[in-house]
Amino acid sequence: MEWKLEKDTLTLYPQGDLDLVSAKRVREQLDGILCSRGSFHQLIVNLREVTFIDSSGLGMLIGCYKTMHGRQGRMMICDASERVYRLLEISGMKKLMPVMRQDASKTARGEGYGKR
Amino acid sequence: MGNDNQVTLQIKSIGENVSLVRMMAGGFLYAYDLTLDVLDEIKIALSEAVSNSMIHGYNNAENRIVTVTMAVQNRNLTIQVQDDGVGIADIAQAMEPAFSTREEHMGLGFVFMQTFMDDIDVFSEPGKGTTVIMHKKLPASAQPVSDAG
Repeated sequence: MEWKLEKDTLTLYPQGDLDLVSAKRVREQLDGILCSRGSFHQLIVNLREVTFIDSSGLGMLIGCYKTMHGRQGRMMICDASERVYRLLEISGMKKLMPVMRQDASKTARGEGYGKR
Repeated sequence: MGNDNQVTLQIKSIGENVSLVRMMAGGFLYAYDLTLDVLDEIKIALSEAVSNSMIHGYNNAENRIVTVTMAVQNRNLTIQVQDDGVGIADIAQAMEPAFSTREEHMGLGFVFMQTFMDDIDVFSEPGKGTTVIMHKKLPASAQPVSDAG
Protein backbone atom coordinates (compact mmCIF):
# COMPACT_ATOMS: atom_id res chain seq x y z
CA MET A 1 0.00 0.00 0.00
CA GLU A 2 1.23 3.44 -0.86
CA TRP A 3 1.35 6.07 1.85
CA LYS A 4 2.63 9.58 2.27
CA LEU A 5 3.65 11.47 5.39
CA GLU A 6 3.63 15.24 5.08
CA LYS A 7 4.13 17.37 8.16
CA ASP A 8 1.35 16.39 10.53
CA THR A 9 -0.66 14.29 8.06
CA LEU A 10 -0.36 10.67 7.06
CA THR A 11 -2.29 9.66 3.92
CA LEU A 12 -2.93 6.00 3.17
CA TYR A 13 -3.86 4.74 -0.31
CA PRO A 14 -5.26 1.21 0.05
CA GLN A 15 -6.08 -0.59 -3.21
CA GLY A 16 -8.54 -3.17 -4.49
CA ASP A 17 -10.90 -4.97 -2.11
CA LEU A 18 -10.94 -4.04 1.57
CA ASP A 19 -12.02 -7.31 3.17
CA LEU A 20 -10.91 -9.67 5.91
CA VAL A 21 -7.35 -10.10 4.66
CA SER A 22 -6.56 -6.75 3.04
CA ALA A 23 -8.06 -4.76 5.93
CA LYS A 24 -5.73 -6.55 8.32
CA ARG A 25 -2.76 -5.70 6.10
CA VAL A 26 -3.69 -2.00 6.03
CA ARG A 27 -4.02 -2.00 9.80
CA GLU A 28 -0.64 -3.69 10.25
CA GLN A 29 0.99 -1.17 7.95
CA LEU A 30 -0.56 1.73 9.85
CA ASP A 31 0.68 0.26 13.12
CA GLY A 32 4.17 -0.01 11.63
CA ILE A 33 4.14 3.62 10.54
CA LEU A 34 2.81 4.69 13.95
CA CYS A 35 5.68 2.84 15.62
CA SER A 36 8.43 4.20 13.42
CA ARG A 37 7.16 7.69 12.54
CA GLY A 38 4.23 8.28 14.83
CA SER A 39 4.41 12.04 15.26
CA PHE A 40 1.45 12.91 13.01
CA HIS A 41 -2.01 13.82 14.29
CA GLN A 42 -4.09 13.67 11.13
CA LEU A 43 -4.85 10.53 9.18
CA ILE A 44 -6.41 10.59 5.72
CA VAL A 45 -7.51 7.35 4.14
CA ASN A 46 -7.86 7.88 0.40
CA LEU A 47 -10.17 5.23 -1.03
CA ARG A 48 -9.90 6.15 -4.71
CA GLU A 49 -8.33 2.77 -5.57
CA VAL A 50 -10.71 0.76 -3.38
CA THR A 51 -13.29 -1.12 -5.43
CA PHE A 52 -15.04 -3.11 -2.70
CA ILE A 53 -15.50 -2.86 1.05
CA ASP A 54 -17.29 -5.09 3.54
CA SER A 55 -17.73 -4.94 7.31
CA SER A 56 -14.15 -6.15 7.87
CA GLY A 57 -12.88 -3.14 5.93
CA LEU A 58 -15.27 -0.83 7.74
CA GLY A 59 -14.20 -2.31 11.09
CA MET A 60 -10.59 -1.59 10.21
CA LEU A 61 -11.45 2.06 9.47
CA ILE A 62 -13.21 2.31 12.84
CA GLY A 63 -10.14 0.83 14.49
CA CYS A 64 -7.96 3.48 12.80
CA TYR A 65 -10.36 6.16 14.02
CA LYS A 66 -10.17 4.88 17.59
CA THR A 67 -6.37 4.86 17.41
CA MET A 68 -6.20 8.44 16.12
CA HIS A 69 -8.82 9.57 18.63
CA GLY A 70 -6.73 8.03 21.42
CA ARG A 71 -3.76 10.09 20.23
CA GLN A 72 -5.80 13.29 20.24
CA GLY A 73 -5.63 13.17 16.46
CA ARG A 74 -8.27 13.17 13.78
CA MET A 75 -9.13 11.18 10.72
CA MET A 76 -10.99 11.59 7.48
CA ILE A 77 -11.90 9.43 4.52
CA CYS A 78 -11.84 10.79 0.99
CA ASP A 79 -12.23 9.82 -2.67
CA ALA A 80 -14.71 6.99 -2.00
CA SER A 81 -16.50 5.67 -5.08
CA GLU A 82 -20.31 5.80 -5.04
CA ARG A 83 -20.63 2.15 -4.09
CA VAL A 84 -18.04 2.34 -1.31
CA TYR A 85 -19.51 5.64 -0.11
CA ARG A 86 -22.92 3.99 0.22
CA LEU A 87 -21.49 1.40 2.61
CA LEU A 88 -19.75 4.12 4.60
CA GLU A 89 -23.11 5.87 4.92
CA ILE A 90 -25.00 2.76 6.01
CA SER A 91 -22.34 1.96 8.61
CA GLY A 92 -22.73 5.36 10.27
CA MET A 93 -19.09 6.26 9.60
CA LYS A 94 -20.11 9.83 8.72
CA LYS A 95 -21.17 10.42 12.32
CA LEU A 96 -17.60 9.85 13.45
CA MET A 97 -15.49 11.60 10.84
CA PRO A 98 -15.61 13.52 7.54
CA VAL A 99 -16.29 11.16 4.65
CA MET A 100 -16.10 12.41 1.08
CA ARG A 101 -17.02 10.73 -2.15
CA GLN A 102 -14.91 11.00 -5.26
CA ASP A 103 -16.38 14.15 -6.80
CA ALA A 104 -16.52 16.09 -3.54
CA SER A 105 -12.94 15.30 -2.67
CA LYS A 106 -11.61 16.66 -5.97
CA THR A 107 -12.39 20.08 -4.57
CA ALA A 108 -11.04 19.16 -1.18
CA ARG A 109 -7.79 17.87 -2.64
CA GLY A 110 -7.18 21.37 -3.89
CA GLU A 111 -7.28 22.37 -0.27
CA GLY A 112 -4.65 19.85 0.61
CA TYR A 113 -6.58 16.70 1.54
CA GLY A 114 -4.80 13.65 0.31
CA LYS A 115 -2.95 15.49 -2.42
CA ARG A 116 0.10 13.82 -3.86
CA MET B 1 -35.60 -22.49 -17.63
CA GLY B 2 -32.38 -22.84 -19.58
CA ASN B 3 -30.57 -20.20 -17.59
CA ASP B 4 -30.89 -21.99 -14.25
CA ASN B 5 -27.61 -23.03 -12.69
CA GLN B 6 -25.99 -24.21 -9.48
CA VAL B 7 -22.46 -24.36 -8.12
CA THR B 8 -20.95 -25.55 -4.84
CA LEU B 9 -17.52 -24.57 -3.60
CA GLN B 10 -15.75 -25.98 -0.56
CA ILE B 11 -13.02 -23.73 0.73
CA LYS B 12 -10.47 -23.88 3.53
CA SER B 13 -11.18 -21.29 6.19
CA ILE B 14 -8.36 -18.94 5.21
CA GLY B 15 -9.09 -15.27 4.73
CA GLU B 16 -7.72 -15.18 1.18
CA ASN B 17 -10.55 -17.48 0.13
CA VAL B 18 -13.18 -14.82 0.88
CA SER B 19 -12.13 -12.93 -2.25
CA LEU B 20 -12.02 -16.23 -4.17
CA VAL B 21 -15.68 -16.82 -3.28
CA ARG B 22 -16.56 -13.30 -4.46
CA MET B 23 -14.79 -14.00 -7.75
CA MET B 24 -16.76 -17.21 -8.09
CA ALA B 25 -19.96 -15.29 -7.50
CA GLY B 26 -18.99 -12.77 -10.18
CA GLY B 27 -18.39 -15.56 -12.69
CA PHE B 28 -21.49 -17.50 -11.72
CA LEU B 29 -23.76 -14.46 -11.95
CA TYR B 30 -22.25 -13.13 -15.18
CA ALA B 31 -24.91 -14.90 -17.24
CA TYR B 32 -27.72 -13.00 -15.51
CA ASP B 33 -26.78 -9.58 -16.81
CA LEU B 34 -26.91 -7.78 -13.47
CA THR B 35 -25.96 -4.18 -12.85
CA LEU B 36 -22.70 -3.63 -11.01
CA ASP B 37 -24.65 -2.31 -8.03
CA VAL B 38 -26.71 -5.51 -7.69
CA LEU B 39 -23.63 -7.65 -8.19
CA ASP B 40 -21.80 -5.66 -5.52
CA GLU B 41 -24.67 -6.12 -3.07
CA ILE B 42 -24.63 -9.88 -3.53
CA LYS B 43 -20.86 -9.98 -3.15
CA ILE B 44 -21.06 -8.00 0.09
CA ALA B 45 -23.69 -10.34 1.56
CA LEU B 46 -21.64 -13.36 0.50
CA SER B 47 -18.44 -11.85 1.87
CA GLU B 48 -20.11 -11.22 5.23
CA ALA B 49 -21.48 -14.74 5.53
CA VAL B 50 -18.17 -16.40 4.64
CA SER B 51 -16.17 -14.03 6.86
CA ASN B 52 -18.55 -14.79 9.75
CA SER B 53 -17.94 -18.52 9.35
CA MET B 54 -14.18 -18.02 9.43
CA ILE B 55 -13.99 -15.41 12.21
CA HIS B 56 -16.80 -16.50 14.48
CA GLY B 57 -17.65 -20.06 13.47
CA TYR B 58 -14.07 -21.27 13.36
CA ASN B 59 -12.41 -18.66 15.63
CA ASN B 60 -9.97 -17.89 12.78
CA ALA B 61 -8.73 -21.50 12.64
CA GLU B 62 -7.44 -22.06 9.10
CA ASN B 63 -7.84 -25.81 8.73
CA ARG B 64 -11.63 -26.00 8.55
CA ILE B 65 -14.05 -26.09 5.63
CA VAL B 66 -16.72 -23.59 4.59
CA THR B 67 -19.20 -24.78 1.97
CA VAL B 68 -20.79 -22.23 -0.33
CA THR B 69 -23.61 -23.12 -2.69
CA MET B 70 -25.15 -20.69 -5.15
CA ALA B 71 -28.21 -21.58 -7.17
CA VAL B 72 -30.47 -19.69 -9.55
CA GLN B 73 -33.91 -20.94 -10.48
CA ASN B 74 -36.23 -18.68 -12.47
CA ARG B 75 -33.99 -15.74 -11.53
CA ASN B 76 -34.40 -16.54 -7.83
CA LEU B 77 -30.92 -16.62 -6.33
CA THR B 78 -30.24 -18.77 -3.27
CA ILE B 79 -26.91 -18.63 -1.48
CA GLN B 80 -26.10 -21.11 1.27
CA VAL B 81 -23.01 -20.71 3.46
CA GLN B 82 -22.38 -23.55 5.86
CA ASP B 83 -19.74 -24.21 8.52
CA ASP B 84 -19.25 -26.83 11.22
CA GLY B 85 -17.99 -24.35 13.78
CA VAL B 86 -18.98 -23.28 17.27
CA GLY B 87 -22.50 -22.23 16.30
CA ILE B 88 -24.54 -19.32 17.60
CA ALA B 89 -26.20 -19.46 21.01
CA ASP B 90 -28.62 -16.59 20.43
CA ILE B 91 -29.36 -16.03 16.74
CA ALA B 92 -31.67 -13.06 17.34
CA GLN B 93 -28.99 -11.26 19.34
CA ALA B 94 -26.30 -12.07 16.77
CA MET B 95 -28.44 -10.45 14.08
CA GLU B 96 -28.91 -7.18 15.98
CA PRO B 97 -27.13 -4.16 14.48
CA ALA B 98 -23.85 -3.30 16.19
CA PHE B 99 -23.75 -6.56 18.12
CA SER B 100 -20.31 -8.11 17.97
CA THR B 101 -18.37 -10.37 20.26
CA ARG B 102 -15.11 -8.90 19.02
CA GLU B 103 -13.40 -5.53 19.02
CA GLU B 104 -12.94 -3.80 15.68
CA HIS B 105 -15.90 -5.67 14.28
CA MET B 106 -18.87 -3.44 13.78
CA GLY B 107 -21.59 -6.04 14.10
CA LEU B 108 -22.72 -5.17 10.59
CA GLY B 109 -22.32 -8.58 8.97
CA PHE B 110 -25.93 -9.71 9.36
CA VAL B 111 -27.16 -6.14 8.81
CA PHE B 112 -25.54 -6.10 5.38
CA MET B 113 -26.88 -9.56 4.56
CA GLN B 114 -30.38 -8.42 5.51
CA THR B 115 -30.00 -5.10 3.70
CA PHE B 116 -28.72 -6.44 0.41
CA MET B 117 -30.64 -9.71 0.13
CA ASP B 118 -34.41 -10.14 0.12
CA ASP B 119 -34.53 -12.77 2.82
CA ILE B 120 -32.18 -14.57 5.19
CA ASP B 121 -32.56 -17.70 7.31
CA VAL B 122 -30.02 -18.72 9.93
CA PHE B 123 -29.88 -22.24 11.35
CA SER B 124 -27.46 -22.77 14.20
CA GLU B 125 -26.90 -24.46 17.52
CA PRO B 126 -23.89 -24.21 19.82
CA GLY B 127 -21.36 -26.81 18.78
CA LYS B 128 -23.26 -27.80 15.68
CA GLY B 129 -22.17 -25.17 13.18
CA THR B 130 -24.12 -22.54 11.31
CA THR B 131 -25.96 -22.49 8.01
CA VAL B 132 -26.97 -19.17 6.49
CA ILE B 133 -29.40 -19.25 3.56
CA MET B 134 -30.03 -16.02 1.66
CA HIS B 135 -32.48 -15.35 -1.14
CA LYS B 136 -32.66 -12.59 -3.72
CA LYS B 137 -34.88 -12.13 -6.73
CA LEU B 138 -32.55 -11.12 -9.52
CA PRO B 139 -33.82 -8.05 -11.40
CA ALA B 140 -34.92 -8.62 -14.96
CA SER B 141 -32.14 -8.77 -17.47
CA ALA B 142 -31.19 -5.38 -18.85
CA GLN B 143 -30.99 -6.86 -22.32
CA PRO B 144 -33.43 -9.28 -23.94
CA VAL B 145 -32.15 -12.84 -23.92
CA SER B 146 -31.67 -14.15 -27.43
CA ASP B 147 -31.72 -17.80 -28.37
CA ALA B 148 -30.30 -17.02 -31.78
CA GLY B 149 -26.64 -17.06 -30.94
